Amino acid sequence: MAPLRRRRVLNTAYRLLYIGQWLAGVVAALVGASLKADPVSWSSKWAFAGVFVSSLQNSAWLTLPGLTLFLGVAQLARSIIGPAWVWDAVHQVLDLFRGRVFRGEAHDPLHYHRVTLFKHVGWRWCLERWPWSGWLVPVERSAHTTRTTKVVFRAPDQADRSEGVAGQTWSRNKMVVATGLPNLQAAPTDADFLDYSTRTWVSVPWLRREPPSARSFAGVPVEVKGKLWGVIVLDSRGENAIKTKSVTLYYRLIAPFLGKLLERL
Amino acid sequence: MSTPSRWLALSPDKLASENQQKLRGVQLNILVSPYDVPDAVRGYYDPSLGRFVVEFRYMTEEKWSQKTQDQFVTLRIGRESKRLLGIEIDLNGLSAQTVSLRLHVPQLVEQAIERLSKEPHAPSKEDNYRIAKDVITSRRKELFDSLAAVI
Repeated sequence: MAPLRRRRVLNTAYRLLYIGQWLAGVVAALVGASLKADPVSWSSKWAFAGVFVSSLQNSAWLTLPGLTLFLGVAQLARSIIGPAWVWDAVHQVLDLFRGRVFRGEAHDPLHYHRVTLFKHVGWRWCLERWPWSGWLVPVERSAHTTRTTKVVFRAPDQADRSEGVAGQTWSRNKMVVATGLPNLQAAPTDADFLDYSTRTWVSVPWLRREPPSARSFAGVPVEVKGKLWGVIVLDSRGENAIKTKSVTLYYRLIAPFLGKLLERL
Repeated sequence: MSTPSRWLALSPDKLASENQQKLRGVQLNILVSPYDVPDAVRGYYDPSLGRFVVEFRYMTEEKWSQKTQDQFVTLRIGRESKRLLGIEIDLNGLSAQTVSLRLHVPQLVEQAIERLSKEPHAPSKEDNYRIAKDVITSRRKELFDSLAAVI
């Protein structure tokens, strides 16, 4: 499943795990309390109670360790997924950034000008070479469309093999800007593909598989607590819609909030 | 501890110049990371330390480590980013050796940054160090004004 689309599933899983942890805690407390109870005296008060207490006592050897294990695993899973409210807030920050940088393109559809947050991961489940290379995976994007993307970029330790504007931004730890790119949607020539490929660090076969609509990109490194965490990539169908000054000006406004939010993930 | 002086606002967009590079005959635009460009600087004497301190303020905060540059100069370097966050000059030790602190201290600061930029890990942060040095040079008078009250 596309990383961005998976977000909704993960948010639901986060909430369910939270509820599950509460239930597991309550049940574990009940089972623990039942160990000291006398089933006979309970059954004299309510007919079913004695049976209930007995069954809790008899299964305690399994339920207590099982529930404790579930609590630990659920907590680990939730810490990996990250709170849903944090992801919602990150999305809003990206929307705000997009709205400011592309203020002049307000009449265009939202997906013509986008902001995507990529996280650097050391491992990724895939059949490509190699799963452990080091990758930039999209984890959040502005607006509500084009979220089924499966595009990821290599960002390995061997920095010469970094892919895309995202990979170059990561390996250089600087802002990278590419504007005035050829239009690959309108009868592109071989020279157009080659030019686009050279200026965006992706191969020509990669471009030919699914020619991108974007004609300008900007990559900005993202830090959390002083450490490089990932990158943000702005892409636009406008040749010159990305203005470097706007990107740096508005990024300086959102970066402190973004960093604090990403600390929670 | 004396009250630190007010921050002097900088213009990050002017400090971070766009660098055009050629790759395989193609023009590329590479800019300094926004995290490496300070938005303010200040200089003040801290009597509890006995040192004159120059501090840079960036977009985000970070813990720093001390790095002794020489017997009079200590640098504050970001623990993760290796960014230059501040410089401490030992005025007590220095005053015994030099006649004019007002002239000497700014020079020491610039030289300390110059030496830092030549160290092995420096290439990844050379832009940050260059910008820091440019700021010290361009705002020298305002930063070191408070030295007169200390000497």
